[in-house]
This record gives sequence, C-alpha cells and structure tokens, in this order.
Amino acid sequence: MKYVYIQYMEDALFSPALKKGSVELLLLSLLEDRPRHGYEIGKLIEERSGGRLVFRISSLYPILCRMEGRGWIEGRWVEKPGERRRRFYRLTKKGVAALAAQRRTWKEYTHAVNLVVEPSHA
Amino acid sequence: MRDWKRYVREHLALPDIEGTLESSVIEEIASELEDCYREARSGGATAEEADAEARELVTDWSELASDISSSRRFAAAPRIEQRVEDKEVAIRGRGGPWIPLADLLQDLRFAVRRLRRAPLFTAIAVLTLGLGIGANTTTFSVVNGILLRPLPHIDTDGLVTVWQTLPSEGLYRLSVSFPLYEEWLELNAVFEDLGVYSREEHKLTGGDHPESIEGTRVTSGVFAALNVPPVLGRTFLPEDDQVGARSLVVLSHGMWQLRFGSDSSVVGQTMEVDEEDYTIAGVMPPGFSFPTGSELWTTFSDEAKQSYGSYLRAIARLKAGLSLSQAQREMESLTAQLAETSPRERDYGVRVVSYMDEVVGNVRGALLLLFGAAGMVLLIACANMANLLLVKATERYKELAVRTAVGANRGQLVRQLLSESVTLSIVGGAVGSLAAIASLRPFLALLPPGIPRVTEIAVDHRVLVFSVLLSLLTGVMVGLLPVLTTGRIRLSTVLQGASRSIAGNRQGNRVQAALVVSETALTFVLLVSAGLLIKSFVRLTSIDPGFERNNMLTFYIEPEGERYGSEDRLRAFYLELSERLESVPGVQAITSSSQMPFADGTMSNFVRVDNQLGEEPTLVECSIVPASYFRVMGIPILAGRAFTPEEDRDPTTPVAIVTQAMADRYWPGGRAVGRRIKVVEGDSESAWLTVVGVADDVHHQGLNVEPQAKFYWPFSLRTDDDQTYVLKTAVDPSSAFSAVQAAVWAIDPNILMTRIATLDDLISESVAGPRFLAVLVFGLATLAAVLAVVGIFGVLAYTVAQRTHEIGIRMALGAEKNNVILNVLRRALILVGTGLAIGFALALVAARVLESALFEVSPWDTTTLLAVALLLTTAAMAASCVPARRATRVDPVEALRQE
Repeated sequence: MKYVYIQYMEDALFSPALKKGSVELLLLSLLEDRPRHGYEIGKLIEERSGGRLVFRISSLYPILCRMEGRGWIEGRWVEKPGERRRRFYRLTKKGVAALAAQRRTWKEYTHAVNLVVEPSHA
Repeated sequence: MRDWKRYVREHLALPDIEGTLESSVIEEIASELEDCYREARSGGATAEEADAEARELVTDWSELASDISSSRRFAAAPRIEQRVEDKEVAIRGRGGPWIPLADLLQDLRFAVRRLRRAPLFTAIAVLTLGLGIGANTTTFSVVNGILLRPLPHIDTDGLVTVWQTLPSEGLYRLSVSFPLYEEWLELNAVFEDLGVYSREEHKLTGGDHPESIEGTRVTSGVFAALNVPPVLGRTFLPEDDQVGARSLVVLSHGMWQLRFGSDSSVVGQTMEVDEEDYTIAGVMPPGFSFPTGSELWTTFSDEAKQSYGSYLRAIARLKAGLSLSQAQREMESLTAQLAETSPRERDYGVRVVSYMDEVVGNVRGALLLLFGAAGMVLLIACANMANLLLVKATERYKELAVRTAVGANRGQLVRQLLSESVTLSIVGGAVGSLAAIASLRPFLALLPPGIPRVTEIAVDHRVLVFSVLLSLLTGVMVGLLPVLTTGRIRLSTVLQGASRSIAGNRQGNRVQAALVVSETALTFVLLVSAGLLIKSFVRLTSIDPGFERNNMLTFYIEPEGERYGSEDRLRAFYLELSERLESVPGVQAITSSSQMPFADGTMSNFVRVDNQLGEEPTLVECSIVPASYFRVMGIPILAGRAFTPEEDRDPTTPVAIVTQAMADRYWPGGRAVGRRIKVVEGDSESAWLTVVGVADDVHHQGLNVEPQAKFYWPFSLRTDDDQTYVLKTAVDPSSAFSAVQAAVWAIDPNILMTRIATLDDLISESVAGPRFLAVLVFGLATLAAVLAVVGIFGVLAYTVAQRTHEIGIRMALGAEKNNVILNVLRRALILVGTGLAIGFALALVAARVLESALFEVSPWDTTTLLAVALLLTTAAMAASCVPARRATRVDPVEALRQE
C-alpha cells in the first residue's frame, strides 16, 4: 500500500481521518478469515505491509474496543493449554457488512484520487 | 520478568471503569506487552532489551486511557455520547472541551494557510468585514460611554430629577423656586434626600484679569442625594443651607490640584469667588463632576435663599424600595395638597424622572439610530461575504467529497469551513477595531456640542469584548450559510462528473438571490433614512431666525460687587460701556439683551392682560432690551414703534413691545398697540405697561422651536439683570474682539467676559446635531450602497459564469445577443425589485424611529422614497451591464466543449 499525495488537498488530511478509516478496514479484513488477538493483528499488519504500517497497541486497542462496542467484532477470552489466556476477536455479521461497506468506500476513494492525479480527462 | 499486570495497573488510570471490566482491560494490555517481551527474548534480546521493547509499545498512557474511556464498549454514566461514527467527538464526563484542542488548532492552521494562498480574496474579505465591524465598534464605543457606563462615582439607582410642570402651557421641565423646594423638603414622603442646584459661571480673581469657572450652587441635599464622599474635608450640611450661614465652597479635584497644588491643608482656607470670600469646606474625588463640567460647588447666597425666582433644578434619591411610579404618584398628591393652600400653584404639576434619563435622554434615540445603521452595514457586509464564501465552497466541492469518503464526518467539515470564515472575521475585526480605536478621538472631536458624557467615551473592556464577540458571531454567520447549503456531500456525485456544485444548484442560487435581495432592502432603508435626514437638515437651515446673523459678535458680562450695588451705578456703567464699544474700530453698532437668542436661555414671567382681567395670569417669555435692539438685530417692527433712547434712561415710562405671536394669542384679529399688560411676580404686580409696538417673531431656542409669545421691556425698567452684548462689525467679528475686551477692561479690569461667540456660530452650533446625524447616516448609507452594488455585480457575474454552457447552447440555437443581455438584466431587475419591495416595507417600520429626528419632513416622503429607489435601480442596472456583456461574448463552440 502506498500513500498518494493529492496536490490540492491539505497534507494533514491523511493523518487523523485517513488513518482512522484505513485502520478499521485493515482490522476487519484481518479478522475475516479467522479470529485473532490484538498482538497478532499488529504483527500481521507490520509483516504484510513490509514494515511500512506500524500500529502500536495504543492505537489498535481503542479501535478494537470501539468496533466491539459497535458490534462489528466480538471479543472472547481463550485459554489454551500451557499458555496464558488471551482475548481473541472475531467478525460478527454486522462486522462482515461493515467490512464490505468499507471496502467499497476505499475503492471509490482510490478511484477519485486517480481521477484527479491522472494528467488528462476524457 | 516484570509483572506486566502490575505495570499496566500502575500506569493506566481508568477512573470511569471499574471492577471486572477494568481487570479485563488491564489483563489484555498486559498480555500484549508480555507477548512482545517474549518475542523479543526469543529473538535474542536480553531481558532488559526485551523489557524496554515491550514498554515502548505504550508511551502515552494518559492518551490510551482517554481513548479507552471514550470508546462505546465502556459506556458509563455520567457521559454523553454524540451519535456520530467518530468517537473523537464524544463529550467526556469530566467537562473538558469536547473538541480536541489539537484538531481546532490544526483547522486554524489550515485556514490561515488556505487564506494566504488567495491574497486578493482574503484582502477583500478582511476589508469588507473590517469596515462593518469597525463601524460597529466605533458606534458601540459611543453608546457604551454615554448610555451604558455608570456615571463616575455616582450611583444612579434611585436618583431622580424632579420638575415642576405646567400642562396648560405644554411645559414639562420647569425649574423650581426656593420656597417650593422647602415645601417639598418638609412635606414629601418619598425622598431619602432632596436638594436643589443652579449652574453658574463664577469669577475667580488672582491674576491680571478675572477668570471664568463653571460652578454650581447647591444645597446640602444635593451632596446627600449624590452620596459621594469628599477626599478632604466635608460637603455641605443642612445648617449651611440656613439664612445667615457662612459662604462655603467645595472644590473639584482638578481645581484643587491646579490652584492649590494639592495642598492637604486647603480645608478652612479662604478663596475669592465672585469678589466674595468663601471658606473651603472640602475637596471632591478625581473624576467627580456634577453637573458635567462643574469645577466647584458653592452655597447659595442669603438673597437667593429668600428669592421666589424659579431657576433651580431639583435632584433627589428615592427611599429604598420605592419605584419611580410610586414617587410620581406621591408627589402628584403632594402638589395637589399644596395647590389647595396656594391658588397660584393650582395649574402646576410635578414630574419625577430618572436622573440617567435626564442626562442621556436627548441623545438616546439618535445614538440607537446610528447603532442600528452601523448594524445594517455589517449585515450587508456579511451578506456579501456569505455569497463569496458560497462561491468558494463550490471550488472545494470535490475536496470536501473526498474528505467525507476517507472518514471525515460532517462535523469536521463544518469546523474546517467555519474556521476559515471565523479567521477572516477575526482578522477583519482586529483591523477594523484598531482603525476604530485610532480614529475615536478625531471622531469625538467632530461630535456636536451638547452631547452628554463625551469625556467618558473610551475604549474599555466592554468595547473590546463587544468587538471580539461581534467578530466571532460574524465569522460564524457568514461561514454557516455555505455549510448549511452544502447538504450531503456525495463522492458519487463527483465521480459522475456532474457539474453540479454547491452554489450552482437550485438551493445555492436561491440562497444567493436571497442574500442580494436582503442587501438591497437594507441599503434602501439606509439610503432613504440618509435622504430624509439631509432633507430635514436643509429645511432646518433654511429657516430664517428672524434676526441678522452675519458679522454679529456676542459676549456676556455681569458686573458684580459693591461698585455696582445700585441701579443708578449699573445704568451708568452700561451707558459708559456702550459709548466705549461704539468707538471701537470696526464696530458699526452695539446692542444688548438679557436673553440673547441662541446665546441665553429664556426668561418667563406671568402677565395679566387688559382684556382678561378676571382670569389667572399666564406665563409669557420676556427680554429686557435697549432702544437699539430691534434696529441692530434687524428685527422688523410690524406695528407701532421701538423703544426710544429716552425710555432707556427713564425708569418711570412703563412701556412694552410684544411679539406678533403674543399679539395673535391675546388680541387675535385686533390691534395690540395701545393695549396694556401687567407683570405678576409672586404677590406683587408691576404697573400697567402700555404696548407701543409689535415686533416680528424670532427663533430663540432653536430653528426648530416655534417662536413663543413674548414681550420686551425697556432697559430702564430692569437694569439689575445681566446683559449679553451684540456688536455688529464691518470686519470679521473675531478680529475685533481684542479691542472690545480692552474697551471693557478700560472701565473695570475685573469685569468678566464670557460666552464669546458670533451669532452665526451659535446658530450653526444649534443645528450641529442634525448635521452630524445626517452626515454620518449618509456615510454609512453610501458604504452600504457600494457593498450592495458590488454584491449584485458578484452574483450576476457568477450566475453568468455558471450558465456559460446553457448560454452557449442558446446562442448556438440562434439566440440574439440582445436577448442574452436582456435575460441577465431581467434577473438583476427581479433581484433589485424584490429587494426594493421589502425595503419599502422596512422603511415604513423605520419611519417610526426616524420621525423624532426629522424637521418638517414626513418619514414617508414620497419624493425621497422614489428618488432612492430610482438611484438604487440605476446603480444595480449599471453593475449588471458588465456581466451581461460578458454573457454575449460566450463562444458557443467552447461552451459546448465544456460538457
């Protein structure tokens, strides 16, 4: 994933709004195939983005709490033999719908960006 | 290995969350830190390195705690949560700001950056708003200083002025006499304190020539009512009001500093006032001035205390808990009671008025009118700015749509837009306010005389707060309109490539049109007001005062002391003075009067008329004049003759001259010459005075005051009255003054000459108020008109630009250029016409406010209304020509290509 700079927009637009929007999308999509715990989610994002996206617990944890509050994800304590118990999160039906909507919005956004940054219009 | 749960518990403060929930949060975060530690250790890090790496996962525990608290999962009372997706705007229970300060500062930074990229737009906006806010700041400074600021030192709550009234003569502000005051003092049940006072000009000696100082004679009750303690000594006591008490004086702080060098032992010393010795009783605090301008306060003379003359003003403080209306009823009851014992008082009434109303009442209406006019100018400026910002919002539609797509909610967009408009208005407000502050003193210097409390007008905290609040409100107002008009911003709309825009859509067009119509309506009202005030001023100044006003120098003298203790000596002084003045080079003629028009107030006496012997005497104005008066003043004698020089000297010749108004009142249709009148003063009556002439009426108190019934009696009959002299000069009157002064001092170097002015200046001063109001409202109206015409031009130009494609199609299909022009002009005419229609309706309402400020001009003057309507329409049509012509230059091919 790379950030695209849009000339006529303010730089800091990306910081609060974009990051917030993209993090939720990232988290939801990572939970799509199976439940995960918070630390695992953070590590996955870092690995799959080649180290370009790093979200610490201080950023991830409040978002997980928020999405759980919205009913998009469900957290549950799981205790595996020989391991300390961990809190795993999985997508709910609402979360699946939210993921689909966020994916759509993201496509619209990137399309709009491309429309602007392309050198000429039809 | 560290106990991570303990570590988290020590660092993470969650006061909103308790019990198992808190434990759950702590455990989850602790497990994350432990996972990190273990992974680092398995990666080869030492225990310390792994511990440090894990601890770095959370650097800002307080931010983490607040984020967790605000998330919905931990909803706990008391906390209000906004129904928005973005939890950053949840209101925290602790009552802190619900918008993170960092975001607000960020918005402001963006706003400044954006405005710097558009310097022309920013300059226009700052100037437009600056003019509006600056004008309001200036007028508010004046309103604040005169109407809102409390009087220095004096608590006006419960402080009243008490007038005597004579409803049958239409008089409601009559001075009172000492005997009446003493009766009120003894018998009233409503006043805690009651006193009377009279302003006087005092003569202070000590230099080469005497000096004139404004002072006030007061009874002890005045100081008691005002309740302002002196800084040295004391004020007057009831025993000082008694006949035979010694003469005392209380000094103002300024006089004490100037004349006595702030000497703290001044109390008990003697000073000469009006050539008599007064003992200094005390010194008042700095800033105390009652009435305004008074430098010292003296006790009344024994003679004054026993006089029946009605020249005193009464001031009182109501008893605690009593209202003005209660006091009015009680005093009316007392007056009726007094009338039973004194038939002469039967026709008199009483009026109790708030003291503050007395001080500022005569200018309150005009000030509020000015304030309203300035407010209208600001509204017009805001309408222009709102239109500009609406157009600007169009250019940012795509940007706003994309922001919405990536997660910015409507609240954030609103904040961004408002931050720009508020930034503009704050900068404009700062510029305008600084200009207002810098120009305040010069502006005050232009104020007409007679405006109360001018010295108290200043830029204080109230003015600054007003300016800041006005700037913020203006910014929100002009910024809110584009925001409300945006509706739901849809990225899909942008993607469809629709040329729809905020201002280009139907709603936006309606809003723009509404703004222009409002501007036009307000401008119409302002221009009509200015036109009426100017017309009124022209009418006023065209009034003939009834006497010669060019090259007429006036001054007042009051011979005092033993030297002039008898009528013969006074008469000899005045005769010698006249001879000396006549010989001054440049002086063509001299005369005098006890009540000079426009220079002195009026004097009135009760008269009994020969054909109304059975009736009560009536109040009539009077003046004491020499034989030369009517000739020098250019007042025609309409019947009979003027006084003769012999009548100037011989006090046994009982004659009088009446004005036409008096002749019409008492001998309507008949001949006044040969009739007789008698002057009634208290219980005594003069001998019958035979009317020897009828003089034309003159305006005395103002060009807008109808001449009243008046009689003149000759100089010889009342030599003890002070005289205002008038010198007709062949040269500029002010150039003759030194010689005149020398002539007076040649007789007596201790004679005080005051109130030096030309009659022309006095008349001009009397209309300074209406002139000032007319000029100011005209200035504001002109500014409003310029803004409105610019607004109309802007809207039409934008409409043409928006409809380029449509116009292109029309022209491609064969539309004539003239039709295109007419189309644009028709739109302009509709806008202006609608604005004028609303303006007419508003003008009818405004007429009620304006009526009291007009002279012989109806507030619904058709000529003015139509002239202003025509003027505005013409200006608007002229402004429309440029966009209309631009529309005809649209290349149909280019226009079609834009699709």
